[in-house]
Amino acid sequence: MKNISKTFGAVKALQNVNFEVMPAEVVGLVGDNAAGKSTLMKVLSGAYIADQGEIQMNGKKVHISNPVDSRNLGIEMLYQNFALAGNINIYQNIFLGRELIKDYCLGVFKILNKKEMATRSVDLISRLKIDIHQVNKRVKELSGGQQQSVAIARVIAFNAHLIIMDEPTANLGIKEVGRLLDLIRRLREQGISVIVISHRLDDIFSVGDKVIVLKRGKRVGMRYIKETTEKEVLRLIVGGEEGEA
Amino acid sequence: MMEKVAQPETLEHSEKKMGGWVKRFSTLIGLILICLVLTLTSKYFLSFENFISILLQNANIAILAVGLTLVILLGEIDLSVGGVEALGCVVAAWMMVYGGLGIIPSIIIALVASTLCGLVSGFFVAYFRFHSFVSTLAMMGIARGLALIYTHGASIYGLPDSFRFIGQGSIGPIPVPVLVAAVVLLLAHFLLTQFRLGNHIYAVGGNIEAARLAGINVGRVKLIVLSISGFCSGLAGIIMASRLNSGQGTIGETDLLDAIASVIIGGTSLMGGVGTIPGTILGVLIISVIRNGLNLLGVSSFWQMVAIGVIIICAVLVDEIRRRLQEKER
Repeated sequence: MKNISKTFGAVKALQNVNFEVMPAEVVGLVGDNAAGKSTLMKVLSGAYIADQGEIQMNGKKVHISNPVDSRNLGIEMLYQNFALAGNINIYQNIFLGRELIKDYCLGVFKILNKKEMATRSVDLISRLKIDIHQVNKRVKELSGGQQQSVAIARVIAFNAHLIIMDEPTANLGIKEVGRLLDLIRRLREQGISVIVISHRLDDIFSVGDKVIVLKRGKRVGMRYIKETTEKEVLRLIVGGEEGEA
Repeated sequence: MMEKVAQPETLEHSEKKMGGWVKRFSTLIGLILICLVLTLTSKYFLSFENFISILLQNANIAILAVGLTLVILLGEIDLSVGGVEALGCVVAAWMMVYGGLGIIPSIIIALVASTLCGLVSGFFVAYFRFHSFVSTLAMMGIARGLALIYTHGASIYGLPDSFRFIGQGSIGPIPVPVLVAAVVLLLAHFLLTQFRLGNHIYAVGGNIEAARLAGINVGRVKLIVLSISGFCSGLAGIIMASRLNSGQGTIGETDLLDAIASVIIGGTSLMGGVGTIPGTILGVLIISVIRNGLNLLGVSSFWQMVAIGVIIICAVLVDEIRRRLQEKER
């Protein structure tokens, strides 16, 4: 992402922000509240359109003007509020917007392939070792942790190249956090890049390769995890750094 | 694959199951109780003729309720169903009597006109962010006004005899309007349960932001659903034209009340995202049976309107209490 800017009325949410992620890399995106972290990632996921700047993938300029564009490029986002519809069931949520269909009458009727969606959802959920036994259960009947698991199942279901996670550990207990961090490591091993927005630096230091710091809509620093400390990153979050743009 | 873990059958669990069963079939239980009371209070109620008469008189309400169910599932409302029903009735009659067209072209034009009404309402909701209350309220006035302009406030007579079959004919013992309503209900049920659009309607009604982030074109879903509602209203209007053997701009003035009441009693939540076509069928039957019962008991139509209004309040109240209890349980 090059020189991304975004304003909401008089508020400059992002100002000429650069952001880069390599294949099979885990990048932590950190910053104080209202630093622009979620806004930047929503631009990448197509939820917002940048006022200025460009996005490149594998060196080629790409246009992302809605979530479908982003998904077609292999980018998936795990939203902080999970972005699930509580009134429909687990497999309907996992496949929402990308439902599997069966053609009838030479393709005139496209009927939902519920059986296949349910089977694949069970498979995904078992791979994630989630404690959910019925994929036809409505999402609003699940606990917060289970709902997040459904949201995770959705982002890994479609062979993404890049997964963005917005505060993925915020609502989890210690055990679930460990499980999620393991999942991030496994995704990296499979060649998938992951961007983790988080306030919890210990999580970023546990799985990340590098960390990028935003402050009041500007990028104020980048550090490789192996070459920095939590203290230094904290200093960047609070004070920023000269010379970064 | 993970194995299903069987729940131990404790007393508490079986009580919960029982409660869930009662909740699930509460509308059906309500319908049975109303039928029992009416059977005991009126000797004319429990007969095949009366049953068929109930279905016939409410076939148009059932068709209107189908469109409204889809709209309310989205968390929107369509106040124009009665007005568009009148327009459909008048356009079909006008085309046959003054336009010199045959039955089929007249029906098609009436359906296109009513679908367009829904499309226009939907366009403002989807792309100008109008609240559906406003855009369909406006369309209610426009459609009713146009229907009265077409007829100069009078009725259009002289419809072809064969046109009566749609509203007055029957196949075996079943009246044609009832069969048409059954087909519409069945199609809508399939749409909601077997098609992508149905899934998207539930998702938009349940969490519009989640639906948008999932790549669903929310505006298009609203546009399609309000158009379907317009189509259903036009179809109901055509049936009324055939039943009355005339085009009348004043028909369907109380149909909105009955159709909304049916949908809500059938368990469709005004908040959106919750509801089914089988529920709406039960809702239509309850309203129809109550109206029929009140007629048999000699209650005036003005008091019937009051009764339907009270029933709507009760149904919304029950829905709200049920929702709060579910939130508490969680």
